[in-house]
Amino acid sequence: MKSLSNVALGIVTSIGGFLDVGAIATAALAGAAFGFQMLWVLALGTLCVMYLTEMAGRLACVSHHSLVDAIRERCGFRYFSFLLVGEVLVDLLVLAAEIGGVAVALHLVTGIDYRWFVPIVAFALWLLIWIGTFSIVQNGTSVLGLITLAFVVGMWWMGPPWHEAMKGLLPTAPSHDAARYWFTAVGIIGALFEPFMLNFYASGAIEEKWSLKDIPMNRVTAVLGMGFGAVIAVSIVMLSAMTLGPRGIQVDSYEQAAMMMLQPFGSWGVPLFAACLGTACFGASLQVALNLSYLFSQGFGWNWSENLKPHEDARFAIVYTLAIPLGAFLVIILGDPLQITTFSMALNALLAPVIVFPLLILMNDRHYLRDYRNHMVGNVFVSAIVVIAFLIAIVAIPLEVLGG
Amino acid sequence: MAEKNEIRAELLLGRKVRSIHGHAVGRIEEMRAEREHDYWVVTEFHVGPIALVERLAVRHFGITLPGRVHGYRVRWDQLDLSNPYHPRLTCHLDELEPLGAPRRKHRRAA
Amino acid sequence: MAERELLPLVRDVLDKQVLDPEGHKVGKADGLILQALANRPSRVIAMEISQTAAWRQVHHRLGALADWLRAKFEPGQNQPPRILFDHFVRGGIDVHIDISWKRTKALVWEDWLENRVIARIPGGRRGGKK
Repeated sequence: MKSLSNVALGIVTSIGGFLDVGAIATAALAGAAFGFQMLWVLALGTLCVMYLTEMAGRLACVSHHSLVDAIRERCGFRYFSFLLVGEVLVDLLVLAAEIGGVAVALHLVTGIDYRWFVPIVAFALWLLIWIGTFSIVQNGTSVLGLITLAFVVGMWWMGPPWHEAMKGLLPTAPSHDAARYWFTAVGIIGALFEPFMLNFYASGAIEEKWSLKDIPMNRVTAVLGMGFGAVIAVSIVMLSAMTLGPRGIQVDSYEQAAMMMLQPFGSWGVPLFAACLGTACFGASLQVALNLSYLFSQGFGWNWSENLKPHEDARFAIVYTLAIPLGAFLVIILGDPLQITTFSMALNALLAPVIVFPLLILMNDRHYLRDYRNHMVGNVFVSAIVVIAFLIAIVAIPLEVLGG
Repeated sequence: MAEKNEIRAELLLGRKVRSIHGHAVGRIEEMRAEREHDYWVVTEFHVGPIALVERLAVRHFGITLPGRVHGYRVRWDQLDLSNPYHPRLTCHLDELEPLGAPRRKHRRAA
Repeated sequence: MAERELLPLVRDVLDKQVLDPEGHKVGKADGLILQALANRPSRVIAMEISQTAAWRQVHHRLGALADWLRAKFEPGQNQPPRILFDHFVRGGIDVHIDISWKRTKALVWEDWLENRVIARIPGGRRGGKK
């Protein structure tokens, strides 16, 4: 039971990274515009995020400190303040986009303007966090998230050209629209390097009271959990490549993205897409809202846990209670969740090095990791990820201007 | 607000230490305290990039250059903190112990 | 001569999570107060748990703003909460003190929010773990 629960943490974390409102749209766009050419980007990003997630979990298992905790403690408040400001901005935008994503999903099945659903979704989100426990959030999201396997079923039903797909795993130069190609590639990796994802995973490991004996399980969870998300994301790319690309459909809205499900599922396609989008976005919004509370509580040393009653960790509860309506307000004011996501992905890319770089230090700190520090190979790999994160940060904004 | 004879240690962190002649020696990256009867007293300040490297426990990354002095161990009596924003040495640079060298035995001022 | 116990203040005290004997989180050691003495090494006299001390490290104006907000809104406190260093037990990745969090006055905001805000929201004030 505990093993299943552990893997559930991996699955729910991967939903925030691979299957949130931005990732689904980007994957659909990538498949429609470039066929299977971008699969290598997903593969590379998945490897990186598996490793980062494993390290975040290992840090939590050994030190019982989350990533944000450790960054504040080891790098000092000045460094943490950059992370705090940046992550609050990004998380609020992502939260707005995710709430909007759920509202858009409801719009797809009802035809009612998505903005009417925003307050209802926000209230449901807040209520679940207010009265629920971490297990309910984690396991509920994981179970509901299994509906996204519909993308895998749809992809399989279409009979994908596996040879073409395998070729897509090798990095290639774009055949057309280079700026948009690289912007999409940066968007995919940027969406995976989301700071909230790593800290949510580490915080979840502490909520679940992982310890040294859970280190092997942490590795399995990181691989299986991120693997689950990657399989779904790859399926979206492939399905979009097979259904939208040949018809020249550019994915500029979720209505267009939903059309990828029409061929495999007929009239069930759009409701199924809406169900997948809605549950994935709801799961991601739970993650982001909780992560905002974790960020403040861990950074400032407050009492925190989703398993405590609100009166036992009042400041923790107040943060998400304020953040959720603010996110809802943002999506109503700013409009299209897809546009909010595009902007937040660029900010995400800028912020990624700020959280990935300290990992290189922390995972070698004997006070935190004791005998479970990184070996040389691990350090080389993390260093490569840090370099990738910095490169993405440098090119993200110019590419957004040129190709977004 | 701090009282007049109080110093905020967190504001000393990262401050540039200057020599008697006004040259930059390095930044304060660590402060070490020792037990003296019922109190902890700050006995030394670690200055320079190697002090930061040691604080972050990344010395094994090999990012220091062999043959170069990357930091100093500055005793409490070798540092003038009358202006905490501009700490200055009270001795010559060659009287400072390089970080990484074995500690010299010293007599503390009465 | 016996090996003296050395305490690296930045690595093992500053910015670390302060825990009371029950393991209750008190806050982060945002500041460390030293007492300057004539012809003697400075004495470590207190840890400060305060947004003012934290934000002052970023920029003195942010610290001043945080202090103004604290003075204006923090319930019943003239000064930022300090824990005398006499109560320091050991440092490391956490700082352990030997007094209960209730005696530290570092959780006034937590208490205020619990009583004035959380208690007024349905479901906010039910005893025990969820």
